[in-house]
Amino acid sequence: VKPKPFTDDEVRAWKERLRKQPGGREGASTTQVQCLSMVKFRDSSNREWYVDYDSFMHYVAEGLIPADAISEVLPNTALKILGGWSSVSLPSSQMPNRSTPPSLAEKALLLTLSKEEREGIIGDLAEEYSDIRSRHGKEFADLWYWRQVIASTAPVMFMLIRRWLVALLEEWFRRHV
Amino acid sequence: LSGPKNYLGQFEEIVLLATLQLGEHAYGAKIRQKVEEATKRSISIGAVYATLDRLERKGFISSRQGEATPERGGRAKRYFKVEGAGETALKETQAARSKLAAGLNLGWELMGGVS
Repeated sequence: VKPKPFTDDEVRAWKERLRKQPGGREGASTTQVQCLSMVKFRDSSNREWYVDYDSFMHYVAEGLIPADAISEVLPNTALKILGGWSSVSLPSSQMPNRSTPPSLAEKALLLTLSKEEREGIIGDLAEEYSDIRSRHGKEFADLWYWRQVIASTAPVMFMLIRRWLVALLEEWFRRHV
Repeated sequence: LSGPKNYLGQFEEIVLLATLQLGEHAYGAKIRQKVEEATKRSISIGAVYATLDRLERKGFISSRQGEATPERGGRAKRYFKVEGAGETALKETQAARSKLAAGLNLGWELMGGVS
C-alpha cells in the first residue's frame, strides 16, 4: 500500500490522539509533533518497502541496505513525536512487517550452533520463514521452522546427550567398581 | 588408486551441483531449496551447511560474506562458489559411476557428457 500524505486535519487529529494516549504528554506543544517523509526502497530480493526516513537511515547506518536503494520520497506521510517520549505513528498496514520466527526455536539454534554457523543458518531460516509465512500463514511457517530446527540441531543434541551419558557412566563406575 | 579423497558422497555431489547451478546466487537457503526441488525430499538447512562446511574444508568450494537484509533479521548471507578442485571432483565421481554402470542394462541413462 503506497502511503498517502496526511492532510492538515489528519495531522491535527493524530496530534490530539498522540497527546492523550498513555505515555503522551497532555498539552504538549504542536512543535513536538513532526511530519516526516517516508521512503520507498527495494531490498536485494527486489521486495518493495515503505519506511519512515529515520528508520531508513537506521538501516543504512547498520549496513543492512545501501543508501542508494531509495527510489522515492513521500513527504508528510509519517508523524513523529519529539522529546523525552518519541514514536513514529503510521497506519499499521504501512509499517514494514518483518515476521519473526518462534523465539524459543531461534534460542535453541543459538545454543547449539557455533558462532560461525549462526549468521548464515539463522539468517537463511528467517528469510525462508518470512516467505513461507506470507504464502501459507503463521501456523504452517512455525511448524516448518520447528522441523528445520529439530532436524538441524538433532545431531548436536544427540552428541551432547551421549557425552552426558558417558560422563554419568564413568562417574558411576568410579564410585561403584 | 590416485586421489580417492576426490570422490564425493551422494549428498555432497548433489549440493555441489546445486551450488554450480545457482552460480553467484548460491547461498544456504537457495541451495537447500534447489536440493529439495531436485530430490523431492525435505532437507534441513543444518544438513546443507554441514555438507558445505565439509566441502569447503576439502577445498572444493569457497565462501564469502554477503549482504544483510531486513527479512533476514539483519544477518548476512554466506555465498558459496565451486572451485576448480570441486569441478574436478564432480567429474571424477561421475566418470567412476559411468564406468561402473557401463554395460549394465539399467533401462535408464546415467548423467553423461563427463570427460
